[in-house]
Formats: sequence, C-alpha cells, structure tokens
Amino acid sequence: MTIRAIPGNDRAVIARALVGDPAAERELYDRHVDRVYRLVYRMAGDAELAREFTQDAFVRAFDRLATFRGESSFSTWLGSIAISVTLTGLRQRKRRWDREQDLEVAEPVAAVKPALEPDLRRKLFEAIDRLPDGYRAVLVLHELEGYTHEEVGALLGIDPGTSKAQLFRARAKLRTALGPHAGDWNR
Amino acid sequence: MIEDPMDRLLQQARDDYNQPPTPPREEMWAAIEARKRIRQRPSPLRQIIWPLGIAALLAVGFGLGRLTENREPVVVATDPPVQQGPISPAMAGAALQHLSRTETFLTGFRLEASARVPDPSLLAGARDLLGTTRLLLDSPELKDQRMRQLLRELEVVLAQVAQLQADPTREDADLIVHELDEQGVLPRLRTSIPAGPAAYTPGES
Repeated sequence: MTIRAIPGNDRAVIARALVGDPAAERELYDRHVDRVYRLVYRMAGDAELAREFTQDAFVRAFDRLATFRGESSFSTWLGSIAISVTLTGLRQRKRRWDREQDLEVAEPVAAVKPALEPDLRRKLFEAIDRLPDGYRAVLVLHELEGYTHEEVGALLGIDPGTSKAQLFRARAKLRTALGPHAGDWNR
Repeated sequence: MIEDPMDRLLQQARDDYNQPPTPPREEMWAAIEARKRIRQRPSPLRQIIWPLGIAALLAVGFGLGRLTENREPVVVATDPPVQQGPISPAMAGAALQHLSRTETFLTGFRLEASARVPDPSLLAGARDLLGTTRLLLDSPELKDQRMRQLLRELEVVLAQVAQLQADPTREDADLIVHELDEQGVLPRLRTSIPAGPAAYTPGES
C-alpha cells in the first residue's frame, strides 16, 4: 500500500485552497476522506468516535494548511494529523473513564482455554485493544493496513527502526496475552 | 505460505478487526463546513469584548504601575489601596504586551507541536510567561472575572508547557494542543488583544 494517494495534483489543489478557493478544500476532502476515516476507524473502533476524529483532523489540517511545507506528501501529513488526533482523543477518554490498563500488569485474557474458535478471535481483538497506544498504532498500520515501516514512521513521527521494534514488542504482548489459547492457533 | 500462527491470526484480524463501514462523507463534510462557518463568523460579542478587555487591561496596567512604583509588590498586593484614576499608558502597554507575547508564544508552540517534538529552547519561554501571569493574577487591582478566568487558564497551559521542557514528547505536546483547542483559549486570548503586534522574543523578560 502506498501513502501517496494522488501525489502530483495535491499541490495545485492546496495552492487553490490557500488563496481561498472554496471548492479546493472539498476536493482535498474528497480525495483523502476514505483513507483518513479508515485509519481512524481502525484505531478507534467506533463509528461515532471515527466521525468526530476524522472531522477534527480535516478541520485542523485546513487550519494549518499554510504550514504544510511539502516535505512529505500531503497524504502523509494529513494522516499524521489524523493519527495524532485519534491517539490523543482516545487517551483523553481513557483517562476520563479511568479505564487505562497496561497489558504488562493485566491478568491474562482467560485462565481457562476456550473451546470455540470465535472466542479466540474475540480474545485476540481484546488483546489488540489493550496494547499500549504506540504499539497498537504500529500493529494496525503495518499488520492490518499494510503500510511499510518507513510509511509508519512518517505517519507516527518515529524512526522506521522504532516502528519495527514496537511491532516486535506488540506481537510479543499478544503472544503473552493469548498464551492460554496457544493450542487453538494450529487448528 | 504462513508458518507463524500469529501471522494467521493477524491475517484474520486484517479482515475483521475494527473493519470500517462506509464513511458518512456528506455528514462529516457538513459538520466540517459548520465548524468553518462558526470560526469565520465574527462573534456578536466581539465588539463588546474588545472594550471590556481593554478596560480590564487598563486596570491591570494600573495595578502593575503601583507595584513598580512602590517596589514592594508583596506588601502592595496584600494590602492594596482602593483607588480609581487615570492609568499609566506605559503600564497598560506592558499588560497588553504580556497577553500579546503569550498569544504569540502559544501560537508558535501549537505550530511547532504539530510538526515535531517542540524544541526545549522554545519551551523555556513558558516559564517566563508563567511568572508574569501569576503576577497579574496576584494583583488585587485585577477585578474583571473574565480576564482572571482567562489568566488562570493560561497559567495552567503555560505550566504544562513549562513542565514539558524537562522531557518533551510529541504525545504530551499533542495533548496540550488538544486541550488548548478544546477550551478555545487562543481565540479568547486573541479577542482580548487589540490589533497590533507585540513581538515575542524567547528569553525576553
């Protein structure tokens, strides 16, 4: 998968938006909204939150459009804003609801081996949900959305090597969390 | 070929985990446009807030003038003479400059935080502004509750930014920016400052 949606033309549209062409912002929105919403939904897992964070990301991007220097593609720049908005928003809600839970100190997902395959899938999803934000972001972007580590690094503002390391740790945490279910993996 | 069972599980997750529905494109765009309209529309209160803000700042400047004149700020602050009268333009200017510098600083911080981990030399300016904000809040001459509320919010934000200096991370900076935006601190700060630059220089006191 590539981050660059429609590389060349974005610059012309951005230039039009900066001089006040009202259609230009809509054009940028149309070009990128599906990808942004997809990323945000994958992270948030909730339609209402995904809608809120996507809107927030576009509003911020339009506000800051003059600061876009073109060092990365517009798509990457917009994606990094969307992920930042999403992670911050999710973190605030976690704090508010006092539900933050670190997988390292959490109990294993279940002490008894489940009997059904759907249960394993549910446990996997719960374990992904409980990953620390940074790990989960890398896992979702790389493993589920297919971004390269270089692209993940650009989106999250981290080094590609850090992305690899965080993915390794994320997978290790999933293994630990799903340990009691290991026998189901090979069915 | 998939050999690692974890790969098999993640492949399944690829199809099922938080699989997004069709985006509500038009609904989201309508909300974005509504927010743009709100930002662009001049507030009906704006014309009232400006004179009120200026009046409050004049009062602050008056208080600062007395503090400087007596050179014993603590004593003056705890036992102020209640006095109404003309205000020193220099003091009013100083108070205005503080709000203007704070606005410039926070705008710069917001932009910096959106691009990268903020530079510690930029963050150092927060501590200086924090001290002046506290001085204004301690001034008994400052009676305008709206202004006091704004200064209290600025104090919280500046304290967070100042703490960031010790261990700056992009996530923490993002969090501060998010709170800044959610509470609308910068727009309210801007409406309290009459037009005209008062450039902020990092390290300047």
